[in-house]
Amino acid sequence: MIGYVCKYTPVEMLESMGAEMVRIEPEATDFDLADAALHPNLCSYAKAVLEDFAQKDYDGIVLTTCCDSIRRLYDVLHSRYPDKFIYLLDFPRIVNDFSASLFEVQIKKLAEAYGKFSGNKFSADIFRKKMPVCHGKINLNRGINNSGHPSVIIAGARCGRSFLDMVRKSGAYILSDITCTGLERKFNTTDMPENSSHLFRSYAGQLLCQVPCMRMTDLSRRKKLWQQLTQKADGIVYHTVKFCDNYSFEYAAIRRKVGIPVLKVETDTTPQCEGQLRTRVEAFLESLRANKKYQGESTDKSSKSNKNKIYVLGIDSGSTSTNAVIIDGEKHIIADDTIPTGAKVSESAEKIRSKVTAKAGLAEKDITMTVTTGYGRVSIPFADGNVTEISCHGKGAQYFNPNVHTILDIGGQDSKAIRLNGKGEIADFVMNDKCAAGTGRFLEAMARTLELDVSELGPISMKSTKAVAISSMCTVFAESEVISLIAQNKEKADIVHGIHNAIAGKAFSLLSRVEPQPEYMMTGGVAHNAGVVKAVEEKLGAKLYICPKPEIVGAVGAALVGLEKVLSG
Amino acid sequence: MNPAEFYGGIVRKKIPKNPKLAGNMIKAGLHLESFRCAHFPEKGMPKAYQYLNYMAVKVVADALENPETYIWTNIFAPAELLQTFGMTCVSMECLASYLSGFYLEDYFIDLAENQGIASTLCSYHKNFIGAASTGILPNPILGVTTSMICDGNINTFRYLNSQCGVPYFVIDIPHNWSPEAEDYVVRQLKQFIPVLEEKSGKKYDEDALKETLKRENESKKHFFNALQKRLVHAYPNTMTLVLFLLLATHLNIGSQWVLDFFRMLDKEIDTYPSPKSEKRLMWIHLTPYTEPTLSKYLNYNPKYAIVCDDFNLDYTEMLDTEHPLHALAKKMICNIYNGDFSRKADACAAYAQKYNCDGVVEFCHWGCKQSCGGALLIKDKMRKIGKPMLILDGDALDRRNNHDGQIRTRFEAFLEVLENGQEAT
Repeated sequence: MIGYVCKYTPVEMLESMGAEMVRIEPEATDFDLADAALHPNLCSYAKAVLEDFAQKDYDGIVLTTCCDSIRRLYDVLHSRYPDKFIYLLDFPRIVNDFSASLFEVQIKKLAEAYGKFSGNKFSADIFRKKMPVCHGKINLNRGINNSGHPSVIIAGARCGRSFLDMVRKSGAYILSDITCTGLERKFNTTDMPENSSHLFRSYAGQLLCQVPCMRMTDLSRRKKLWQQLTQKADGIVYHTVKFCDNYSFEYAAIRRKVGIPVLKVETDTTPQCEGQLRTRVEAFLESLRANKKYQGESTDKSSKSNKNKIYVLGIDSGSTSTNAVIIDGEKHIIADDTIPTGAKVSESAEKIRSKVTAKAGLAEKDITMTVTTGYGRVSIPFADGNVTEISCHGKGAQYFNPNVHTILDIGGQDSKAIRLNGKGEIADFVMNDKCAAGTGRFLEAMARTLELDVSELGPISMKSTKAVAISSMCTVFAESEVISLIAQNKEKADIVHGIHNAIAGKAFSLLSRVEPQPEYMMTGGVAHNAGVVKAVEEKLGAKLYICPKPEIVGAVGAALVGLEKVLSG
Repeated sequence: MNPAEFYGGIVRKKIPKNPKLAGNMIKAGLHLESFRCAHFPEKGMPKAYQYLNYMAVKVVADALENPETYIWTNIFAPAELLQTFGMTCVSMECLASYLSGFYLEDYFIDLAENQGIASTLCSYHKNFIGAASTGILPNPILGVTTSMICDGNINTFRYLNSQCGVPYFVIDIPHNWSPEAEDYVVRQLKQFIPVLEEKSGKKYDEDALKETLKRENESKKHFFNALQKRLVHAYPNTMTLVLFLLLATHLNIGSQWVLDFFRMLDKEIDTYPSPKSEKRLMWIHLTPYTEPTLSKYLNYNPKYAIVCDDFNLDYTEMLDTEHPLHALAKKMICNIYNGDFSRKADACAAYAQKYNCDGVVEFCHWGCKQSCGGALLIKDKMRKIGKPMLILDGDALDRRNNHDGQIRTRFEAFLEVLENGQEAT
């Protein structure tokens, strides 16, 4: 079994020499070995390939000079596995006759090396039989979407099958997968004469002529493909891999130009961030659906129901706290409450349901509908439906202040920036990655280090005369930085001020990515911290609207979604 | 707050509303710095380095004043060929460093990241992209990059083309040398020449290129002499000077001023006394010149000194002056950073032995996958030859990514290892 990773690998040639070629789609659980042999800051995909190679029974691997991380992966594998077939195939970045002839030489060298390793010889006949043939043009999209789901293009760096499955299960129709390894490979054999020398030349040329990846010099074919596909799709899910930078250039170049919404998601090949990823993809699809729905549908269907007897419960099950709100048919908030989420989501949801219904003077049977949101939204068995917290914060924010167009939500373990369009629908949003930098958890850790309660941070920072610079936003490093500042006898107020400035910097960076429009609102528990609010306002150069209970905005949004459902029958 | 930080603070405020004024302030700042280098050099800086310091700033300041003859390049671009067309190479890495000298890197890096550029990209590239997108830098007539060594090259130049409209030319460098690979590069250089002729309005002059390569070979001889003499003469330097040296060994190699500098270096080093119980370090990859602890230990310190580094010695062969394009092609393909990493590891081990280094430090610069990915392979190699090696993680440009406390602990522990004569860390 020989592994490979790159679409420019001459898979068919090696198969014709008897190699069982396997495209490596690793799903790592950890990077223990890779971090020890390579470096933690290398592309997660390359590290996951190393883990996969070490765990499975590969006879070898054929890598290409596709990127810096893969080149170093080759160097490490080559030094660690001297008895296996570890090969690095160089291929040109330019596509023309001369580069094809250079690539032909490289392919022949690979055939020779594999022949030596396996004892097998190249056979032109078998090679032709192995060739996936294309008669005419290769079709890069799956045609008409009759599924009723939004059509999306998956683009960017390599992504695994589980990611594609997750996107599908979230309710997307994948129109086309143009990630590194997503494209089908087919060859025109009429252009491959019997003579094996010409055969290699034609094969090399056709391999190079695939839709170019970001490594290649000329991307005009790629640009043309974008133009074709974006006419048929509702949105783009742009996938990047942690520490793989190449595709971020394309993302930066297209995000504002393609004319359809783009969601950027980053993975590191591990399942650790699955929940957050799902939230983002579902929220994106919700916004695509909403865009479509509002184009065709008329509005008020409230006459269908008797609004007075309606009570809708919205529960926001977050990583730190669970918030609940009950609204009536006239959208009045009847009761709300907040409790810590604790270890089990379903238990805290059950508990808050009892508390908030009691507070409202209602029985559980009086609740017309329950809609959940937040990380735990899918784990609450009594819910009638669930919506992502992105959409809910949008709805909730509009409820409190219809002039709000940009929302900054800093929650326990994530922070997000959301921009709403004129109708209050999600126009764009970004979330922090799975790192806790700039979130409520970060503040909690800093407060602990400073021996303060989180609630004391805001007031104490107001006493600061000069902020101390906190350079690291990593929770772990920032903690040790704060410890060394304490050791230097810096004032606590100044340190806290510095921490708030660091969070504000991160928040501003998130906001900048959604092209923020006034008015601005901050939601989530961190909005109680006047120091953070002030620091963000200074960065933003504008006031933030803070509603009386900023932590319940998501739950209000969930209840409003539920009410819409009830009213529309 | 030091003057550069204060001045940078004023520039920073001007960037959003008046990028042209901010750009002019940067140019003025560089001219001021070159004046300072010429008339008020740092105390303890040898004369040859004073000249290097002055020229390193002056060349860039002058280039920014004359955008019709300046070119954005990467550090490995064939500067010799560009010089013969009267063009000045200003590499994006160099400009990014200079902007960091004004304490502006955080501003530009955040700007690039906010455009969607990966936060894990090399800080040099992000800094440069951010700066270029503000319009503070004059657009050059051309961008030139080689594909070798760093993934960011082609993508950065392509992105800048889309953002600022700067035309660019890519020279694709194969991974390993072969006659076919050399021909492939020569062919591209031949395609590049008409582009340069058109941009400069000058005809290609092969004799001028041959003369440039001769000066390059001569410069190298003096440089290697100086490195050899450094074994017996204590010649002070700083981390910044190690970086400035790259302007001599790469971006301006072959020019008369670089030859003058290396001659001066070769001669002046004889006048310095023999070192007294110094610990000699080899540095791998970039020096984080803003890092306080490392600056304290390595700048003009008679006890600890960087005596050689891999970057300034990435191609040590003499060039075939009779076949200049082939010589340049070979130089780029056979750079120790290109090809299998074992070549670089072997070269580093050879330098550490040749220049009698007590220890080796590799600085894994944030975002540089090609370098940090092989750090452990070099460490294995150094272990085999008995050279202690320290791997430091940090950022050579973005001050926010370095944690001095952590670097201090590691570096001081390493110095203790060297003092105690232990084998490896």
